[in-house]
Amino acid sequence: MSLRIRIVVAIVLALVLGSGLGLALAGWHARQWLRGELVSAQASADLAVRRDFEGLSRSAAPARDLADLVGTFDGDRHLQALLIGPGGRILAASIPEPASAPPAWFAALLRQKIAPARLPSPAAGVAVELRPVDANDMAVVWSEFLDLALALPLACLAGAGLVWLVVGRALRPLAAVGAVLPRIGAGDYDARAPERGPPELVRLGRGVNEMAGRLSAMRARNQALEEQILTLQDEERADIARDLHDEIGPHLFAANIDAAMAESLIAGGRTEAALDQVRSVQGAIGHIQRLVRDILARLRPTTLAELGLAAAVRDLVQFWRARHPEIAFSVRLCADGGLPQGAEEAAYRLAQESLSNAVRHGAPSAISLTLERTHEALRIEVVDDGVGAAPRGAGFGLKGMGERVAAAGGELAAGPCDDGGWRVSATLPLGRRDRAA
Amino acid sequence: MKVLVVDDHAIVRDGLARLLAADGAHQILQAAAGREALALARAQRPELIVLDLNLPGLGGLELLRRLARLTDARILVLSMHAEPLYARRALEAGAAGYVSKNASPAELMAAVRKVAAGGRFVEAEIAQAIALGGGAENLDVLSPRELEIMRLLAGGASLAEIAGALGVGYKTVANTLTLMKSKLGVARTADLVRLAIETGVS
Ligand SMILES: Nc1ncnc2c1ncn2[C@@H]1O[C@H](COP(=O)(O)OP(=O)(O)OP(=O)(O)O)[C@@H](O)[C@H]1O
Ligand SMILES: [Mg+2]
Repeated sequence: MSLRIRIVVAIVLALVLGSGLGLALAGWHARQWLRGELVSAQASADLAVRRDFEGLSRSAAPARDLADLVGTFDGDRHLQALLIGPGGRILAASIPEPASAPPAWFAALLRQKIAPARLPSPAAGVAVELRPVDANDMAVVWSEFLDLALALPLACLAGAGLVWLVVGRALRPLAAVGAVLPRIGAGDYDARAPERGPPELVRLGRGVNEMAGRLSAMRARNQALEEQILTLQDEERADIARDLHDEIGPHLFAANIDAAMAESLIAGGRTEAALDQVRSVQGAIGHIQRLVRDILARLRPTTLAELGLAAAVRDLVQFWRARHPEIAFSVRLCADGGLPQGAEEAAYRLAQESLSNAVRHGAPSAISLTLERTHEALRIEVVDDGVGAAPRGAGFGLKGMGERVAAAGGELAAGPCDDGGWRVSATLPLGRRDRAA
Repeated sequence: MKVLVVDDHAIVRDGLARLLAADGAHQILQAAAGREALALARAQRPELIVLDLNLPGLGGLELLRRLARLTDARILVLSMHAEPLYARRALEAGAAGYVSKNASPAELMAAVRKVAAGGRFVEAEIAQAIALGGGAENLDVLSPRELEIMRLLAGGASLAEIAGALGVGYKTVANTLTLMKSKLGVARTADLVRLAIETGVS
């Protein structure tokens, strides 16, 4: 059963119960009133009859006077007077006011036992009896009951209708929220719940909307990251393609030409002259080998997997030292083996990017690299004494470092130092292998 | 015969020079970039120019156009690219021959002789691909959906926006892009955008 119907049914039940109670109370009051009416009418009639009896002793025709006395009660609303002769014979009777009788069940509910009063008259053998007549009062109560019986259901009905409307209005936002949630569940994060209605539902709607907003922001962020990764992949592929294309291609071409010429020279018997070509083929191949090694090193830090982090980082420093002899490199490595692979990879990539940034952007005279292992974290720091300054380019290096460290659950600080130069410092937790790996 | 060799790699120039000398060219000029090549072509009037397309600065195609306008030398393009698209463009820009650096030295020399003698020469493999309809400047190789993605790309839409516009997943668009890049022989999404704008799909 819907919440709305439940509420309305409960309220209607309460109304019906209340009405029933009211009716019962009214019935009890009616009985009291009826009894009061009849008893007081009987009492006053009693007085009047007794007063008449006093005059009767002086009367010339007491029998006629008694009949007259009974006649004075014609048309009375509450009682009937009867003249009872010897042996209980009814000599005369008054005619009370006629009344339409209520249904028998109703009369039975209200009827009260009030004994008729019998007054013996001074004239011997005759008595006047006063019988209560409740038909008139019953008719009055019945008509009042009919009014009530019509008004109460009408009031209940009106109340129920009102409650139905109010509850429906109040719950409408709830239905809307209920319709929005499955859409959000299905990935439509632009769906919004109404923030209307009673405060509880406003709060509910607001909560749902905040959730949807956060989900939508999260998805946007994920997509941006994915796009960034794709761009990075693109760039990386393009880089490798360029290297293969622009560097290896020409050398292969030259080697091919020289080999062909050597072939024709040897075929022509000029072996001495062919030596030159062969040497130049060898030169080209040596060059190609170097290029292939460089490309492979970029694709995968082989030394890292084979020799461990420390050796790989030393290798990296050696690479830059050879290209920039004017820079003083100082390296401090206090990380023995046995690190989780993910942490090693992250640390290596951090060192790689930081060193290349320092050399490319900082024009430093000294770079120091520290790799340190405490028992639950790996700390890596690269400091240069170059130009420092705020980041200008929109490269991927710093972003990539940030994401790598975040994925490993670590912390990264990268930026210019107060006294010039640039500092990158990262802490990678070692306990959380699951995320670092 | 006077030959001008234009290539940014010394090793290629030297190899070519040796090859040409062995084949009887009596004077071989070398240039590493566009400006140098234009100056030499104007001053020395070579009969044959062997030109690389992948040059720093001016760019091979533009240099080719200028050389063709400036001199009446025969021009043989010697490029890393074996895609028919490049060959067509080079021929349209005024080259008399097109050979990729993957061709054998024998085929290269055949090309040199043919072009020097006033003929036209396109490396067999590439010529075949062109005959089969490759290298047309339209994007016939793309499916309608891929063309639609091209159009959106050229309009500056991001991947997420394209996915939204086509009502498909983000991953699907990314995968389709990779496929399109390999179909069209370009390396990056940026190249796709450039191609889309050049060919006017937008
Ligand atoms: N050691 C440094 N000294 C001075 N400036 C730096 C240093 N490291 C980074 N920067 C500044 O921060 C910017 C962003 O660096 P980031 O590594 O993200 O990009 P990039 O090096 O320009 O490009 P990419 O790393 O993608 O090749 C750089 O362009 C530079 O301005
Ligand atoms: Mg960088």
